[in-house]
Amino acid sequence: MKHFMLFKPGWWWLHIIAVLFFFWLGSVIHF
Amino acid sequence: MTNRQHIKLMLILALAVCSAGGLLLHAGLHPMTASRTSLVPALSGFVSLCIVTALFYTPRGAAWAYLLNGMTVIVGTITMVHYSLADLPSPLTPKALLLQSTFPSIVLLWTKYFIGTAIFDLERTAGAPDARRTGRFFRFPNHGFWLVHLFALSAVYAAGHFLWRR
Repeated sequence: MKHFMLFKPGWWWLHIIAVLFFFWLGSVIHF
Repeated sequence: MTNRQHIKLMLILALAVCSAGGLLLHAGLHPMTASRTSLVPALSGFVSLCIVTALFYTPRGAAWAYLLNGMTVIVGTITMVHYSLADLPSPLTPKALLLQSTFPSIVLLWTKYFIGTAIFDLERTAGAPDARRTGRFFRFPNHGFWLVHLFALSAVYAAGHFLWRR
């Protein structure tokens, strides 16, 4: 089971920051 | 200064020169503060040139520098692919797609990724330089981790672009 874990428990906050940042980036950039 | 420290310093300089090149290339293409979009390469360039190099210089900051360096490469790749897709060359031929798009710039940008990997590995393997490489391909800090994050964050970026237009 451990091998299929997508996120290590300690790093969930960094994933939230990354997802919010890239979502925001996609929403503000228009070419 | 030991040989290892010299190699590390040269790699950090290579990273700084690469970042400065990208920053100047963008400054020549458009004013850096013209719009929100123009700010992205300016901020990424600043982070790469100042913060990533400074963090790589300190042994404790190497993992964060490696993470930040990879993320700036991902930001650059996604936004430049987006730019090319929004303004496709006409007529659309494989040659035009390869040479008249942002593809050459993306290829150049990925040198930053490999230099960052080299600095991080130099730091990480300092205690056992001749040991065999171990670890899972898809886990940090191996290449598969970046491959997964490139695709996953591209999907998040696309979702932001199409679902939350501002």
